[in-house]
Amino acid sequence: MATETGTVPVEPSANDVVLDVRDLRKTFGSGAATVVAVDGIDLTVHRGETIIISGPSGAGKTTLVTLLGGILTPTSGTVCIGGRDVGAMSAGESAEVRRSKVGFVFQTFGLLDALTARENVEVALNLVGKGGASARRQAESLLTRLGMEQRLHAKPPTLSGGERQRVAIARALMNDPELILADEPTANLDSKQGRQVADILRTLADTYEVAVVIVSHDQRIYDIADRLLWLEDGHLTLPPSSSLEDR
Amino acid sequence: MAVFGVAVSVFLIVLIQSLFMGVRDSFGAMVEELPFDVWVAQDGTYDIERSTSILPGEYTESIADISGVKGAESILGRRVVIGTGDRQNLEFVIAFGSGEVLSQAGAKERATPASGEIVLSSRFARTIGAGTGEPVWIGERSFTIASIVPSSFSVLNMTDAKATFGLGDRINYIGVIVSESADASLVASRIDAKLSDANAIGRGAFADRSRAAIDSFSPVFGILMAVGFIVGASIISLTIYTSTIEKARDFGILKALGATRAYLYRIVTVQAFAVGLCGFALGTPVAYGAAQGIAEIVPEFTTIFNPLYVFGVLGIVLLMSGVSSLLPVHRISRVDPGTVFRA
Repeated sequence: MATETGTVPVEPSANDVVLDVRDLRKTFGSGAATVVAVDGIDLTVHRGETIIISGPSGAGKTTLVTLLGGILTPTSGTVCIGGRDVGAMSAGESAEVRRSKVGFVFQTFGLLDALTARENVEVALNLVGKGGASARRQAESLLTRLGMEQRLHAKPPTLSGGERQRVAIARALMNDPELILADEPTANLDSKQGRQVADILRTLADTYEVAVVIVSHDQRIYDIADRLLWLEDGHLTLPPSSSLEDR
Repeated sequence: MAVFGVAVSVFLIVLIQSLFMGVRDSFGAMVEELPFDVWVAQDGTYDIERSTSILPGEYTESIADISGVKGAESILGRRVVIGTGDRQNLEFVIAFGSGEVLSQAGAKERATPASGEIVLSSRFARTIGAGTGEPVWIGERSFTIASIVPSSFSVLNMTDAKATFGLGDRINYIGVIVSESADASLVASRIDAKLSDANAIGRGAFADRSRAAIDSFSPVFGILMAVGFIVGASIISLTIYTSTIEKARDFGILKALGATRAYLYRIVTVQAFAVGLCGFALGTPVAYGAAQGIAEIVPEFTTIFNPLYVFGVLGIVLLMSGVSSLLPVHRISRVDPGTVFRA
């Protein structure tokens, strides 16, 4: 079983636990063709904490983040967000947890091309049945705080990669989530934009006390993490020293 | 494109429906048009379109004596071929006895064309391309068009009609107008009691029976409308389904963000209903305009646009939209939210 490790020691209280993963396991296929993607992971993430999970391609990082977000159902183990085990929930119940407690930031941004930047952010509130002028104001306020006040009415195809990711981050924040799950958020960005996005995610954790889990193999952003974890062969471990040499 | 396709479908449905209603209404229209409260026909006669009624001419006078009868008019009437030049068509031709009863009802011109003249319905005059003063023929006889009036039938002088139809002193029907204070059904009962070989029928029932003649074609119209429905539903469904496949990534994003099934289904059904309603808004006025235009060219193309039936078509369009969204909704249910995590 993997052990929970980190680069920065933290001693938060049990009440601050946002994400609690116990003996998480996910396999695909059956019999001799069984592939173990995630193999007995334990992980606890607290309010205001930023962790980065890195690892080689094919290590199971994306599988892990979809398990943490309640999108994939684990083969065994638990994934508790705000004390509720999303792994044991129905699809509808886990979707409700995603709407209300989790913000997602995707590598490919995950924006709806037909909608403007502001409308993309509003979608998060629309999903919980809210809309109208207050949703518009809230979306504009968040985008302004992220430096997007000049691009409120621009559609995603006309935005730069960094701008798109900021829109995605604003959307992730719309419902005051407890947890932000970011899957390779800087992979499609140049170094300057990647740095900006990483700094924004770190600031969210500090300012809003959101727990931020970033899955990334972008070594340039390792410095924003409170803890850096390494995922390889389905196991979560300390990062090998070689992976930290360029930090 | 989808809106256009649905508009074509709505166009077909509205046009077919209004044509059916128009044709149906033209059957028995002469019964509704004339002021007779009760029609007397030979016993066993069902309607004015499909049954032949022959009554003794003297029955008209004997009916006039019945309590509650204000006036009774002898009627000869049948569908005959009328032609002019090389054009000919079927027309319902009626002749009235004295014409006095109709004159009292304000239809003197129609009741009593002079011998050798005919009053043509405007629709039929357009059909054969005839104008006032021109000759037309019925069988071996020639008549001059005295006037052209908006009507569902044409009128001959009684003497000419007897000679043309070859019925001698016999007549086809008796039209009865009842007194203001009398009850039409009661008067009909009295006529039935007095004339054992005749049957008195109320105007509404007689018209309805005549209209029922077209009902035997309603399965054909029904099939045509069903084709319109299937075409429309298929167009909406294919459009929305294609759009759903194209937008599968977007639906995946929304699923990943926690969208409920109801939220996603609403997106699809709103799209389907928007397409349907736009198609209805476009197709209905075009169908109306087309019907008017076609009627100008083809007078037999009689259509009726009943607002209630147009609302019925709206209901069909909404049903079409609902049905057509089922397939895309099924497709959405299979979209994997995990796809958004793949680069």
